[in-house]
Amino acid sequence: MERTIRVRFLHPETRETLMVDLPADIRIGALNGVLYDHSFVYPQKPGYGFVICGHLCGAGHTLEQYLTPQAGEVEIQVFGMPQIMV
Amino acid sequence: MFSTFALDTQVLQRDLCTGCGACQGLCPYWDSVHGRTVCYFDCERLDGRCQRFCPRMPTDLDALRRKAFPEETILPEIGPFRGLYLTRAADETIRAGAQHGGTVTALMELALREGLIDAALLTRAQGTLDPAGALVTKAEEVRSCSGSSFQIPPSLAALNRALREDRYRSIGVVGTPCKTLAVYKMRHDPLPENDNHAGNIGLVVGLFCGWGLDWDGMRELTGRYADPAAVSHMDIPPSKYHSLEITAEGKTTSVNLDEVIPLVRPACRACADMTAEFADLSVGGARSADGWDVDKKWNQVVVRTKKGQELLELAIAKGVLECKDVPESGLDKLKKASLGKKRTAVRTLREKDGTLGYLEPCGQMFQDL
Repeated sequence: MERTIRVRFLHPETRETLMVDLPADIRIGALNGVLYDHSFVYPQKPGYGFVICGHLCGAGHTLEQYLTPQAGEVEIQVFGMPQIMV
Repeated sequence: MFSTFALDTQVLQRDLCTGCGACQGLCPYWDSVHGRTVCYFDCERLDGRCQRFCPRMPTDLDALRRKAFPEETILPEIGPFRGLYLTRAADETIRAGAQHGGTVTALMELALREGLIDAALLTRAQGTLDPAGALVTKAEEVRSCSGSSFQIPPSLAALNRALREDRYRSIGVVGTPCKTLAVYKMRHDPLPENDNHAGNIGLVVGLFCGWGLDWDGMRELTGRYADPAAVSHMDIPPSKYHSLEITAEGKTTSVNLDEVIPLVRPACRACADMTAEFADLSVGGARSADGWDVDKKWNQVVVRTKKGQELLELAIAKGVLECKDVPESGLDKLKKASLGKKRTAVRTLREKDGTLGYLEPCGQMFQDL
């Protein structure tokens, strides 16, 4: 069965939260689409970074690469300043 | 999970890092600054040696010790046990520079002279402050590392660098319990596809440890009572004295332990090992009915393995070590002290998040504490 992670996004300015269940192997870069679909942030270009536990995440990495095998949920801060992901 | 990320979130951010250096000397990313472990950059290795060897990453200690020691030798309170001895170096000049009886210095000199090891990973301090790992290859170099420091240096970084060179075939390692646990993880749970030649570790001598102290705080505290550069010895007498003794320029000053306790590294309160249970021999200050004035010039030695037994017997046979009778209550007192540290660790970990944290994989070992 596909592993699912409950993700709580933190808005960088309003501190509002968005709770969604996502597949553990979703790419960090694909999280932008999730945020746009939920109108949580306005679409920007060229993209946002995401911060988990103080670490800026790589767009090509998967969510589960930042989690212990037992983890079922995670909190992700949406990075406050639009920046180019390299 | 990325290794640097795992170590940061599961060890550093939880105040569990002991500063042992097991994660360092392997890659460019990890380092130590004044006793604090730092990560310069996230790496993308999912099962790196840094997280594999860290003594504070979740570890099944019971499974690890079953790999390393015969089950019939294991005592629940103090780990593998083949005998308890009271010893000191026969050479007075070793004892003069030693923390207590000079047993470790004498044993490491002997092991190098006899070719039982071809290098020794020790700790060298400026007086007793700012210690660093030191790899020595000659018996004559061992005495420059005599004495103890209450600052825990990342000396395993020096071990990792030496192992990486693959120059030595039998390195002797002296270290606190966190370090000797890391060494046993290196030896018994290596990464074959990223080998660090841990098979070249030939001997492990553990040091009894209650806790280590914050580097900056310790320097500041010392400066209040003596010139830090002139300090030659520090010691903590039995608990009834409730003090730290600082000796500088021949004068010993007694500092109330209440000033020292706030400097204890938070990670040390979560450590469940007082007697360095993962070792061939474990050595600490003696405790007997003779009182502190006599005991402070002796060591107690726990023999844990056949190799440790053979080295101790050789040292006694060659007149390198002197022995005296262990009091009948000696082992019981040691067990009681060891259990006290385990209880503190369990309490500290449970207070964090209600679990046993890094001890969770072997929770059955601690369920009754």
